[in-house]
Amino acid sequence: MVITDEKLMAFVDGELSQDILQSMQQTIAQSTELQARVEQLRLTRDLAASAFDSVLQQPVPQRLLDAVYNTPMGDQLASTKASVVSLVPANKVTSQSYLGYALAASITLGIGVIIGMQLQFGDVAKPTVAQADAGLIQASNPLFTALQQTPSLQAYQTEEGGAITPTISFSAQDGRYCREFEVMAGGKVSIGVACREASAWRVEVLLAAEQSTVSQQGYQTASGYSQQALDAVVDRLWSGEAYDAEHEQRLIEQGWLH
Amino acid sequence: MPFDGDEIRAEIVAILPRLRRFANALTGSIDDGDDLAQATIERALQRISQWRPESRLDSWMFRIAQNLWLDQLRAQKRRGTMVSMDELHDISGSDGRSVTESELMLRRTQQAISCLPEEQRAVVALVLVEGVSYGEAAGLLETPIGTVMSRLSRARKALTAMLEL
Repeated sequence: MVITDEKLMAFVDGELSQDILQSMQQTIAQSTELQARVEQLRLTRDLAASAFDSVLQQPVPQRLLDAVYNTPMGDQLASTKASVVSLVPANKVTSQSYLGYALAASITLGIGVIIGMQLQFGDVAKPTVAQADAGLIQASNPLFTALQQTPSLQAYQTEEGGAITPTISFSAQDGRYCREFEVMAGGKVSIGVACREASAWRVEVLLAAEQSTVSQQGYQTASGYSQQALDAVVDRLWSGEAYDAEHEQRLIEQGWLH
Repeated sequence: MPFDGDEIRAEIVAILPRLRRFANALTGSIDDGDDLAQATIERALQRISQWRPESRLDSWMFRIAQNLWLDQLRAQKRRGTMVSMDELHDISGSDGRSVTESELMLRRTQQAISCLPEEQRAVVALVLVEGVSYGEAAGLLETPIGTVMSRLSRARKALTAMLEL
């Protein structure tokens, strides 16, 4: 069997059909030279796959969010906009206790992450479209420790002088435990959502937050695109269950694993 | 109509992290990548009527990003600014802090990718960085799948040599 560079590469990338796969495996097993080339191809794949991941762990810059929300849409699709309900209607709440929790959250926190009041419980998930693929946060990351150990509305102080404050915990439709959180570092505030997977927390979204404004009700609410964008991601994940402090404490003790 | 305007904007927000990574891989820098991402978002929304909702919004935006990037490269070439191979060997923590060995390897990989010819870089950014299949990449780049494979194979040989793997 002649094995070209392209064929070997397709083997490593999982692009070969099942029937060719087996004979390839046998041929490779008999040749140390081919095994070395397979290893090189795997390495280039693994290195390239993670080389640019650091950008996933940084907040999306405000100017990109501005571009998303301020660029006028060209014809057709935009014209349907007026007839369709917004993704994040205000004050649509289905759970009384959750409302209380969200209010308590916003008052205690005082810096404007009020999330519960804006959640919509309709079916907005679109299984066919790509989910945000932000990075995996491993145990060595301060964000991991903060999400793992800190009850909501308490600040976890990082060694670098920043603070991470989980703001609410909820379960996702796919069963994962998720937490919204706020990061204050270098005078900037970011907000995000992370969900617990088997070995790490996956950050679903992380956004730079705008200045919050004082509402007429006397507490502060986060405003603007970042919060809207975060809400859209939470809507997508949301299963309808937020956890109170007691339940959350049990989840902290069990490491947010099922 | 499966999507309305607000949903499209929310969907683009969900794509943003990957669009930034893809643009970073194409341009070789986070700042240039974000410029490209911004131009991509603006063009996508202005031409949203050209997107067919049954196709993937992320693929469509990657294609826009790739086309805008090629336009930029043409302009850059006229101005005569190209990435130099020498930069590959001058990456000892440009921001002054110490870096771990694996971090250093990732930086060298970034640099090596930025030294690839542009058509190879586009295939690497799509298939290796973003995990797009050969077939999807071929559709997105409007090239035959065999061309995608030969570019990717040559790119990986070059990376193996540059990174001394």
